[in-house]
Amino acid sequence: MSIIDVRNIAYDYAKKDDEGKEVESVRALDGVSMEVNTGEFIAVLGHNGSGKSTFAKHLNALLVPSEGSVYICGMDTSDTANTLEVRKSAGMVFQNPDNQMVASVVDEEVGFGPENMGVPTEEILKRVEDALNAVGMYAYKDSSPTRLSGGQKQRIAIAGILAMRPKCIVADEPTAMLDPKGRADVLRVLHMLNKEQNVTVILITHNMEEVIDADRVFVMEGGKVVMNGTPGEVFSDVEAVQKLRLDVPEVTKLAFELKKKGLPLKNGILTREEFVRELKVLKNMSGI
Amino acid sequence: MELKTQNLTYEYDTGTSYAKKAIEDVNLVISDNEFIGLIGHTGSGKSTLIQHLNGLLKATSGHVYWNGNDIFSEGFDRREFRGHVGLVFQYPEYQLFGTDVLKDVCFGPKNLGLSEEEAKVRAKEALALVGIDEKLFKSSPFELSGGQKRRVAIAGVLAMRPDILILDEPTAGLDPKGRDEILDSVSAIRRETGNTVILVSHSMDDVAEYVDRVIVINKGRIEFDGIPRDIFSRIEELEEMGLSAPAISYIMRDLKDAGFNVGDGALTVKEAADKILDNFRRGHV
Repeated sequence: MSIIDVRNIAYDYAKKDDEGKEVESVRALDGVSMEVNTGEFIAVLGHNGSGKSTFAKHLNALLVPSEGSVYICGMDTSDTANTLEVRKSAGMVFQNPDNQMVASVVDEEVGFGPENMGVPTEEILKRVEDALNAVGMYAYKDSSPTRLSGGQKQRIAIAGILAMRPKCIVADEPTAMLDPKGRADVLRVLHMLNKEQNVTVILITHNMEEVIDADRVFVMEGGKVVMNGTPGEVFSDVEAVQKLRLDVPEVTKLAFELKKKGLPLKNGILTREEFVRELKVLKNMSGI
Repeated sequence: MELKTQNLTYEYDTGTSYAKKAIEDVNLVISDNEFIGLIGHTGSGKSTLIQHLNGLLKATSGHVYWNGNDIFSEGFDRREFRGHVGLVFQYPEYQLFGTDVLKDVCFGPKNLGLSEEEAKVRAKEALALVGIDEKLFKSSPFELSGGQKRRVAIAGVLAMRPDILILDEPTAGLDPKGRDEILDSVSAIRRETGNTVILVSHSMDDVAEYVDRVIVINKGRIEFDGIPRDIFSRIEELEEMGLSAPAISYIMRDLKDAGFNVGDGALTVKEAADKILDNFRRGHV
């Protein structure tokens, strides 16, 4: 069974005037479908205003669709009786780490979720320890979250989700406000959870370098999914991606540029290793 | 125009057990017509440093000199000085508040004591520089897209006609197109006004593409100050500081390790493509 099953959903935002009367409605999602299997690492790309955050909020019932249905682990998110279970199954990490911290000590912060779910104290302590170890932040368990860096805060936010033992983590631009090291640490943790604990990951991002290792990429535009496939497939058409106000990884751009200038390189090169390998083949063929 | 810092040190929570030097012994000279990238990991002291450069923070010890005058000396007009060194904070669009775009941008120059008319002239000039169409002047700033809002906020600072424009992570949270629009506007501003721009950024690719001088700050101290090509050749040292080099630097290093004769110094896609093509052409001769 697929862990996420989104069937042809639409979502309308109501625009209201000063008196609270509805003046118009704006369609933020329009006919989006997506099926995700347990253990997949999915990336969702799209420019500002493409609908990707609205979509993310549908995956843990923060929003429910105006049309169509969303099933998380087989549960219909529109049925309020399922809301709590849906949120336990799919945890969300947001962009701004400062907006997600509620407790004054790291271990209380991480224990907040399971405590809310009514998990027994002994079990909470164990989960907090496991979660902090998983994100490499156990040494900070007695620290104040306010004294941590952005990347560390995001790892604490992820640990807080992990302590609820979700089957799926939905991360909405979790690295947008981080420096290169913080970004790399957060990504490493997401990939590790995906590989070692079989947590399904949905990563919403603008950063093309973060997409390379995903199993599948969905590109959104105007509330619709306009491209989907493996990273290699999606990035093989550099100009089409750029038309969607997006970018491709620098190495892909470089390979594309060389190809335009006459070097017979293949499309959709995504990594440095692949690029160097391809160039070596060319070099050997041309006998330099 | 010269902005100079001398042995600048700033300590937070002095006298408590949390006392921490956010910047320490910073010596910099900033002159006319420079495009500077300021990089450093989160908490390295970047934001503290730039708040000293326009006198929002007063150093625990050390000095800031504007054209030779200490900005905290008696009789120095700091209000006028802040018109010369414009600071655009992170997420500046949160600071928009005017009922329409033009009024919002007029706020800064009016505060400098200019007349309504003169303020409007400057606001229109600033909005043109950031590429905001006249059709949007009467719109509420809150109806604009994220990238447009940010450009309006930058115009609000530009309208004060600063000699130095400091931008703290101006592209954070924008999509790639929005990012390019902001950075291209900044480049255009520099070209047309001859202003000095200091760009604080986490994106090494952006820094490599745009700036002429890179200042690296680590643990509150200036670690490197030089041209991008030199700074970004020190990949290992940058990584130790929680930073990185532009993606192209890594690709070129790998090519060199694999025996390609591509030389040093390529930082952008275009430069790298030229060097690689050159390598292939030379091989055929």
